[in-house]
Amino acid sequence: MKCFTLYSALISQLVLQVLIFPDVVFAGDKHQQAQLDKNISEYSDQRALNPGESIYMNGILSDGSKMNAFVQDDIPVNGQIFSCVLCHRRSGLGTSEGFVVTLPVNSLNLFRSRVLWDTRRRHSQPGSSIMRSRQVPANLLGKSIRPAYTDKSLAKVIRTGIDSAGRKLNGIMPRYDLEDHEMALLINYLKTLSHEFSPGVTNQTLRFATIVTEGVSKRDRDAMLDVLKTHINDRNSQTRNQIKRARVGAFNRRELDAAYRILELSVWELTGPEDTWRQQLEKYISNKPVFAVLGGITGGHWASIHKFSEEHSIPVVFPVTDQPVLSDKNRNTIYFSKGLYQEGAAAARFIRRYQYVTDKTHLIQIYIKGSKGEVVANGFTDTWRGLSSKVEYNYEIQDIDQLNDEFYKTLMDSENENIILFWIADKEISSIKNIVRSGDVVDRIFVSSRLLQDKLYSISDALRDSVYVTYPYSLPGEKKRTDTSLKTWLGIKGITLTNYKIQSQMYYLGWVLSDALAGLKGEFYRNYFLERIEMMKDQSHTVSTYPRLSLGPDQRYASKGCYIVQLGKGEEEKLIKKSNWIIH
Amino acid sequence: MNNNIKNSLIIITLVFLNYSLPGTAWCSDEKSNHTHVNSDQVDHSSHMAMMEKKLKRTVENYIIPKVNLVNQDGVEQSLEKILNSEKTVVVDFIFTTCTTICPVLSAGLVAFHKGLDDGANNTVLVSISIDPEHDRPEVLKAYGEKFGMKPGHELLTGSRQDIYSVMNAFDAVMPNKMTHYPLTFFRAPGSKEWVRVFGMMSASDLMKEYRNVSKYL
Repeated sequence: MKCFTLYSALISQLVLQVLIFPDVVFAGDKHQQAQLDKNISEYSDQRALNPGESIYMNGILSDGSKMNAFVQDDIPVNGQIFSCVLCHRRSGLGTSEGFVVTLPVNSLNLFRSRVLWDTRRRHSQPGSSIMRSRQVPANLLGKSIRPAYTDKSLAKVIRTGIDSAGRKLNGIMPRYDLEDHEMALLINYLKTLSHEFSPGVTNQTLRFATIVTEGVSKRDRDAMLDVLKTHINDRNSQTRNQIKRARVGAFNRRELDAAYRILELSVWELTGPEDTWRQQLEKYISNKPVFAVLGGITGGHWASIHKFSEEHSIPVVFPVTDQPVLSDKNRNTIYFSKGLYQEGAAAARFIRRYQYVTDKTHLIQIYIKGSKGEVVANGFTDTWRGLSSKVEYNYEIQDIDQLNDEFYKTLMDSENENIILFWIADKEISSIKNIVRSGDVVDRIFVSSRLLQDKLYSISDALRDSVYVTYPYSLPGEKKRTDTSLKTWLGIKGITLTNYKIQSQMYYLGWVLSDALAGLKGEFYRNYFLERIEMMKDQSHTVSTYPRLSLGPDQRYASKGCYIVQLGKGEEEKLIKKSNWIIH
Repeated sequence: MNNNIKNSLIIITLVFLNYSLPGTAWCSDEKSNHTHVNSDQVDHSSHMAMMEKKLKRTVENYIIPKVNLVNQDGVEQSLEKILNSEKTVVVDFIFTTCTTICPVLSAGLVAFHKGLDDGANNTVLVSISIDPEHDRPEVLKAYGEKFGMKPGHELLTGSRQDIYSVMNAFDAVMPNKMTHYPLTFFRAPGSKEWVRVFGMMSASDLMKEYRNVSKYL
């Protein structure tokens, strides 16, 4: 039976190798081909690269006009939407979605022949011993799918969809209408695309950093670092003799084995005033370049680190922060969520959905100017104004002492309903009792669980019927299986559970890292690293903190929703679900 | 005894060959997870050519779930009401950050819609997001504007649960958006039957199918 299975596998492989070669469709007539070749002159490498990059990334030609193209033979499309980067991505190494594989178009792949079951992929810097010792015997290489592209054949495939072997590419690949000089610019750019490994990579190691800023407690710092370092140590433990395999293992596994690297993790401590952090970061990166930043933690906002990563094009993956930078142009930092802002947005959506606001409702936001509460308020205001024309009343206060009886009496209208969005942090939460003292006029009070943290349950039973809490995490008991998985892992590794949220987030990051590195298969380019993370299956790793984490091409915030809950009464800490996972 | 040794040697040899022959791992990988297809081991044009040349057309009966979805203008509507229109209905599933088939599907529908001329008023195009967490109404609106979608083309999103029930109803469950596949559905006014087309359609394919479906009129 085993023999039969093995025979079947072998036969199916051979059949597959034969069948997979496509029908060859020859390009037009010879005259047309000759004309096409004539138009493609030798391209000079001296021409400017930026315009070529603009064509690749934005579909904008050197004169500022947009590129035009056709897909599926007869569908005219805007080249700005269907620019090369859409499918081949910033790295040029392509994507795979469902049944569709978009092939790499970086120079190392384009300008060499393409061989089925190719194991010649470059895994090390030229000249290394690994590279020399792992060449595949020529007689065992698969058949050539296509010859290496030349400038001419590359121009032809971009214009006509006919590749260097004379085959017609699928209609999904746009046929671009490019003049010779625009084509030259694009091809020159492709020659530079993902040509050299990104910094932080050697033939033996892959260097990462993590960042800890001043103001983070030792408990939270250790919670982040212990889990992250354990993941790195696990990967470096050589459970499968990876280094030996990389040197002398089977040639057909070279793609996987030779891509193995020992991971190094530096801890970048940022101390002193925030305006000195940038200088400290520059010094760290200059002393020891890293491939990417893993995790990281700050008690404040992430803006200065975000800016640094954008300017150096360094990927930063899943830092622990409740104040991420919110930007559609964010390229290099993948966050768990939009943090505090997302809670304000969820409150707005919840209030809108349940139509709590009528013409007689006063909607009052209270927060301390410059505090984290202002971020929640911004999330509410932006979303609320997008959903409704009704205006809310914002009360910025300078000091918590302002929230006295007099303040509320002035603020509230006893003839109307009042909804208070009380974006006050944990240390000042006791002032919430003043709202009730001022009279029986409050219908609902919204608070943020991130802002209140451990003080959430300090809200008295008397208030709990009125208090609604934005809760951006899985509800207790919702993720029992993954919760058990995390706690078991921590127990095995001898790590004490000190901060569940931070530790579960870093646990998740460890598996994401493992998967992303496996997906790189030796293509050590920072953009490709980010793209591998983007392309991962939704929910493919254990995450217990959030109900669902998902990314996609260019998506940078993995958890996109929030619950609204109320607090159960009594000594037992209990959350009562008041909404589904709010995303709209 | 000799036979046993021979059989053992054969098995060992085959195991070695199977292990050595490149691609075995991929074969099992692809069955379980399309997102892990290794581009080095797949010939793009052949792989895609199969999809392109063979549009798979079937006629189906679907029961539309009673869910409310939100369109690109933030208006919540009953899906049943939209689809049980007195107009010809064309439906597909997309997500806005897709880098492969969705932009082509959307461009195809836009070109088809423009080509309908007067017929556009008698047709409803519905694109349903399979990534509702990201594809909020404002995101769908920007996507529609980017592609030049005309009135009559509804872009819908909703809760994950509702979207899942819609995918399930159309036998198009894609629990992970990165493993999606191209489907387009056509329904003539008043008809209970849906024409289901698997594969990437050109604008002329769409028009041909539309006319074919319109025979029911």
